[in-house]
Amino acid sequence: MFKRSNVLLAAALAVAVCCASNSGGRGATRPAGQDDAEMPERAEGTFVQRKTLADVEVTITSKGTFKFEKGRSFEWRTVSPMPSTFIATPTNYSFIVNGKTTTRSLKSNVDKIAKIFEIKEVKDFVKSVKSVPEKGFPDKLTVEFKNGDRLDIEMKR
Amino acid sequence: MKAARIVLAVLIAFAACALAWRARTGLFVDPAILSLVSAEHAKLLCEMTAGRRFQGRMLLEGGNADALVEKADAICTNFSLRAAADFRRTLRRIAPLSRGLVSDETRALLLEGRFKEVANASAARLFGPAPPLFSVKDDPFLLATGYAMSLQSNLAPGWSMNGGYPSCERDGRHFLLLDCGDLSCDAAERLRAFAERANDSAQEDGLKVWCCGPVFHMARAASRAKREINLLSAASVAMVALLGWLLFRSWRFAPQLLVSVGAAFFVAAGALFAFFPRPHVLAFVFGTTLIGLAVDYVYHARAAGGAGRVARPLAQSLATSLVCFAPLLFADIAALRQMALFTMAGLVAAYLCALAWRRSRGDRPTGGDGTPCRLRRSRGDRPAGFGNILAIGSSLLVLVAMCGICRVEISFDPSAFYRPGTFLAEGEKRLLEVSRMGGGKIAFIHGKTLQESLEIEETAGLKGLSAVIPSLKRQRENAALVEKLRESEGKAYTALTGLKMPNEDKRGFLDAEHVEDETLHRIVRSFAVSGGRIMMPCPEEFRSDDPRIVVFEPRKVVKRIFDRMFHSASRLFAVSFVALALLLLLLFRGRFLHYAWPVGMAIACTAGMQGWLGIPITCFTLLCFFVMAGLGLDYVIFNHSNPVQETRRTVLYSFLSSLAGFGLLAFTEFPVTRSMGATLALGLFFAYILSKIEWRGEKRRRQKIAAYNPTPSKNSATLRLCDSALKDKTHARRQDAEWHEQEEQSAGEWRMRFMWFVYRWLGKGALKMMCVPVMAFIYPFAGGARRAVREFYEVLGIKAGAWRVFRHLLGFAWALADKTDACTLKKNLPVVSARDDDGHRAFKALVESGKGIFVISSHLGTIEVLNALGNHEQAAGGRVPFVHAFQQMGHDAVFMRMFMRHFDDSEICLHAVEDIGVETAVEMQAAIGRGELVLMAGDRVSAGSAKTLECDFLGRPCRWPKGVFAFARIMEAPIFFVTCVRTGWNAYEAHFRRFEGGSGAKADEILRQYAAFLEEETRTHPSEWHHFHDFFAS
Repeated sequence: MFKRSNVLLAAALAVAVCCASNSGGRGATRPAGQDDAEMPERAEGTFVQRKTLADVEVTITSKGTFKFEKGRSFEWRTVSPMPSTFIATPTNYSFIVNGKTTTRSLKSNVDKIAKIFEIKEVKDFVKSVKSVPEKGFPDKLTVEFKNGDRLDIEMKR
Repeated sequence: MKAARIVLAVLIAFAACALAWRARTGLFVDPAILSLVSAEHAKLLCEMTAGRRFQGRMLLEGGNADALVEKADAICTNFSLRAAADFRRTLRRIAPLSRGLVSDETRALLLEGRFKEVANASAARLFGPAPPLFSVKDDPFLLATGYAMSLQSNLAPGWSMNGGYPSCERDGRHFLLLDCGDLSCDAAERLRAFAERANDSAQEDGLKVWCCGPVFHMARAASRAKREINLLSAASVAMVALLGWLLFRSWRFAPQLLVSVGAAFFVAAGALFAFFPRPHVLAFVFGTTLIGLAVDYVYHARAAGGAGRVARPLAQSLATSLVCFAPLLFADIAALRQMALFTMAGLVAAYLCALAWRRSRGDRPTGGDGTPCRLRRSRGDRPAGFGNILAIGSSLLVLVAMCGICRVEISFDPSAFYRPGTFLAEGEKRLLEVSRMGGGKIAFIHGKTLQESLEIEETAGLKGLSAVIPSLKRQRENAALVEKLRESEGKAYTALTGLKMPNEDKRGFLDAEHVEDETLHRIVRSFAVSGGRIMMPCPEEFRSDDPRIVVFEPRKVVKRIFDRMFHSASRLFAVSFVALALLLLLLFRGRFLHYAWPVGMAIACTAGMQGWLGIPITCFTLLCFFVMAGLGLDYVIFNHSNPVQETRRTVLYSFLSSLAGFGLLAFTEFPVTRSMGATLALGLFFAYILSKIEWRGEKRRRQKIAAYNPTPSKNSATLRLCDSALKDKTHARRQDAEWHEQEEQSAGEWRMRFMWFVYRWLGKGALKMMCVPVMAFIYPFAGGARRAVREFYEVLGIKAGAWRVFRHLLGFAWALADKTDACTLKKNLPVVSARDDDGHRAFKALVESGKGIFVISSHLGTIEVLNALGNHEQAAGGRVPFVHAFQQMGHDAVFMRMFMRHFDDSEICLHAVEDIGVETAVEMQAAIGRGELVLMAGDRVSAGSAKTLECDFLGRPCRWPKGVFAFARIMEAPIFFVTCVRTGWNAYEAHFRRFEGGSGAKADEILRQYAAFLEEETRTHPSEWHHFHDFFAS
């Protein structure tokens, strides 16, 4: 049920996170403010996601954890209010909700956060992506969608 | 002829009117193979091919999905293809109509009452990072978003959208589809060429481009067909022109041929369009058989010097051809009826054209050097040996060919009709592998409206258009289920997410019949056919009892089409054969088998050879048998009706023309035309070969009938004498045997034929050169001749060594060559001059005054070249009288048979000495009265004749034929003695002397003067002495 757009955006986000942390490598974590070479091999932490739906003026907040292994996998686990798990690898990604898993092949190789949103499936819906700091592992990500919706993510390692 | 012209004019006028009448609405030809089938199948297949998704697509393959999208965008731009679908715009358009749009999975859960599960899943999506695709104000449960996401997998499992293009990944390779349905044939061909070039060149990331779908195959086939038709037409026309020129050695046949073929096609087209508003292109293709038959009519008419002379066999040929094709008029397949009508109308026009053409003068088949080939030979005169070899060889060939019948395969496989090229085949294969759509079954749903069809599809469980746009009925059901979901889980959902349930869902329903979005419209069009019906691929295992759902496999349908055509054609062929047999029985009565069996055997042999060569018999090759029967009967009719060399040569060239025209089809790329070309080539070959074989009874019958010959000649009797001489001859090699008892030296049948071959193709000079080694070979075995020559020189008082004797014999061989040339093909006539003396002047004056002359020649020199003097005189404006020459035929029978086979009797008539009787004297007197010449040799006693005169010659008493001089006496005509002696390599001089005596002179006196003349000439030209027996024996 949580098919493509959700999974893909999560993947894009994961890659954005990875690339923000590692400007050159695939999925590597790097200290903030440094280039890709400074991305750590592993990183894990928590996130708070706020999704603002423009047409109903409602903000939905979810929390969860993330786990990163450079060049191997990226796991985005939403804990509350509705649990779900997103897992991305260099060749595919999976989305698990209510015990139901959806897997799709997705191959991408991006160096910078901006390139994440060049993935064709999500590109048309995304207006802009901003990360703070711009290089290295991001502490904050803001994604603005063309329909006016907005996504604010805060990550802590 | 006049009647033929009138009828032809009427037919042409009718055709013109018919074509003009049809031209008001346009002259259209139906190119679709589907038109050959029944209405039901045609409709289904036409609708299937009209569907967008089956027109044409391009499949891009590569290692990088993004690169594929870029390439796809570039192709769309460069070739003006439809741009990638804009998914966002499509979503905006259907947003207000998404009330009933729910994915199949969600619907299934709602139907089971699992509302909680649906609500939780919706919440998880909402709390995830992905944005909703539709406004949550109307769709808080994001059900429409779920539907939009499921669209991709509903269209094709495993496929998704990438940059607006359907794409998927298989085994690490990415694939992307481009819709090319709007392409013209030219554009498709350009696109295919581009794709092939792209694949041939090394591409980054292994990018490959494939073309799939009917539009590319049609474009490729049309392009190849166009090229091949141009090439083959040009080659065929060139071959026909060349063969016609070789036959007639002039271009005068060309206008008649062009007019005949043109008139035939015009009348045929008019007849076709008069009865069929939209005839099939196959009728015209099949009608090219008209060219072969029209060529036959023209050749035979011209060869005979006018159609009137061959009116009977032409009419028989026309009748049999019409009967061949007539049963096709009753076929249940329209294209077969059209083929029959076209061919029959054209044949009649070609026949009338041949009759209506003004009689040609002097345009008859020629020999190798362009001289008219007025040669006569009856079939019974062919050497027995050659006839046996031909019969044995043909029998073996026929036997071997017919054994192949056991291997014959009848095929209805559509691949026998068309096979794609390597590139297109690979593209189709690749698409099948990637799309994993096996089976090839198509389901047609026959609803009265599109909505009804969608409902039927949903009920049957098929995934077609309803998977993209559900029926309105289902959408209403979905809306009701969503309402229940809101009632059940609405409050909890609102508490969790903060989203309020709408008081009233103001959205509408998406009606497939009225979509405004271009992408959705394209999708609907790919499924929908006329009248509310829809079609879609269906799984192999799908079964349905609903009569409104028709499932069929296009391949099987096409196979059934060919099956039906084949059975129809084979039934008609059997009817045609029976009708033909009845017609032959009517025309030829007891001899009809002589005409029927070659054609029957040819068909059987052709089928057998097809078995050996692995060419399956299909409905198309079966049609070739009709053509084979028509043309084969032509060969038989003409060969049997007029078995002279002219006719046989004409038949040969007709066969070669047809072979060139049809046989070239065997080199096309299309399997169907290739098999038809091979079948026709084999069939024509066997028909021609078998038409040349005659049964013994027929041969005997023909020998009783005089050959067709406007100028009476004695040649038939002459050849009979040769035959009997060959049979009765005693093989005597004794020098002292009478001259007529001596066997011909080294004159075997095959040696004679070889020498003739050398003369015919290499000329007289080569023949004379060939005589040297031949004579060198013969010389040791010609003891009798050597002794005779030596004795002759002894009488003359000249010492003759071996070299002189050899030269003497060689001179005789050269004289034979000159004689042969002067009396047959005249390839290199010698320069013949006349010694300017009283004798010549007197002779010439008498000839010019139109008086007949009795000429006594001898075997000194070569009297036969005297007609070359006549040709020179004629060229100078002089008169050349007809000559009646008498010759003993039985002696040198082998040479005479070869000689007579090619003898030109336009200026000389040979009479056998053995046939001289009272009536001969009367006949010769009449000839002299007409101013003709009668020529006899006075220096040989006829075989078996006891009536001789004695007179000294060269101081020896010799015997002379009394009959010649007695005959000269009773002719009451001026008598001349003539010799023609060789004065150079290719030069002769004629010597004339008039007998000095009145009409009442006695034979002895004539003989005395003759002997004196001959002695004088002999002493002057001893090497020209051509008696190789003991001339001086008393």
